[in-house]
Amino acid sequence: MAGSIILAGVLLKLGGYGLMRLSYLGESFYSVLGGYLIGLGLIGIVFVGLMCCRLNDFKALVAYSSVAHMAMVICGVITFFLWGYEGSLIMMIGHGLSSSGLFCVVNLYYERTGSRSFYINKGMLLVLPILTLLFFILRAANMAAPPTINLISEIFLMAGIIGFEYFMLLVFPIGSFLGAVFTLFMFSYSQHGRVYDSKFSYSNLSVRECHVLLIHIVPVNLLVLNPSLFIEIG
Amino acid sequence: MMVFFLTSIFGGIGLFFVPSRIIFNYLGGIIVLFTYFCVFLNFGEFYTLLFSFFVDRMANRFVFLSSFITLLMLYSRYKIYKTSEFSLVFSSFLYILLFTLIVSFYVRDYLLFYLFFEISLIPTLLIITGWGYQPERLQAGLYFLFYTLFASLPLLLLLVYIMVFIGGLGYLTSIYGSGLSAFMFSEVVVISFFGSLAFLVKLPIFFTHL
Repeated sequence: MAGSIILAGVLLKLGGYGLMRLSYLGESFYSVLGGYLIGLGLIGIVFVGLMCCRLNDFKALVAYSSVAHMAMVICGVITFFLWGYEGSLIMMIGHGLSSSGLFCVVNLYYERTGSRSFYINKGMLLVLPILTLLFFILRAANMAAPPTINLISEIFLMAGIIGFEYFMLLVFPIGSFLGAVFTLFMFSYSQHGRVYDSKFSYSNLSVRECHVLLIHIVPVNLLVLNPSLFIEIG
Repeated sequence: MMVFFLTSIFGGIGLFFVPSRIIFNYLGGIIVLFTYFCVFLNFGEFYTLLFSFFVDRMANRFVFLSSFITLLMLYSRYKIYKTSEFSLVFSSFLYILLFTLIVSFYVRDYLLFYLFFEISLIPTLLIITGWGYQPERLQAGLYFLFYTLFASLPLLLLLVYIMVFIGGLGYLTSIYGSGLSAFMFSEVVVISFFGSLAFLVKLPIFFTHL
């Protein structure tokens, strides 16, 4: 679990950071392949979003949503607008925190139930309501809901990508909407409904586990108060 | 500024829950907490004996993210410290990974960045192999390592090729020099394709790594 956290949290951002540094070579770097890479990214968002709606495994779902967000990041870098660039930067930070928080939550459910499937982790709202709250706030960050910095990043990316090509006005909101769809789908399958009948006791959330999740939630929600820490405007 | 202060204090409280028989964690954690406050610093380029660093605000954000997540990983694997004798090895691997990541965000050249980009794969593989959860991680880890290395080898060749033409590989060299205009169009296609392929495999894009 620690390995997948560091993988999703930081090493993906290393790839995005490399792409952003390569764009320092000049505008001609992305002039040739830029269109194709944006198309690839958008296909990634839409197809991965559609595929996530049919998954039944928590960890695979969080991993595929990482794919969708990183595809948005490269779309933002390739547009070569300042807003797209900043949007991809903030998305990398927000995604790193929220995605690693989600892996923590998935691991907490796995430790209690022994499975990562939706059909077994059902009705958790009745069993561990604190975890429901923390899980929902992290999921809200994943689907770019206010007041998280992921919202700022999606707005900036939308401005950048739609400024690149007006056709994206049809494609990019579909990807964003599908992100919300599978997020809410995952949340409501695991929290609402009837508790799975074969498991009778769940250990309650310890302070340490609650604190780990709060450490993920607090920066994502509070950094919106002073975004000039991360954004270079002008 | 207050936001950073609050989040770092809030996160740093978690360090005290780690059992005190490993004092290494305290020292490393305090050093990592220090990086939280350095996000505003903009040293620009400076040269030391070993590396030349390029500390700008963009890199600082990633360093903040990396150190934050490393602290979280130390904090979340609590059972390691209770039940295993290899807890010191685990936390030392995490710190090695953090160190290579911080250096990779702060170096000034493309070639050094590539070097640390590849070096950071090794501690990741060791952490996944040693302390992962399911048995498929062994094969998945090897697969991940070789796939990334294979896709980023053209980047190395490319950087050497660019070095021959431009004469230097700093991040800002192409602003003061001629940049990619020193190349013909067909070469620019190859450069942009292989240069981005290495990172597109790392960031999992739909056709690569899926």
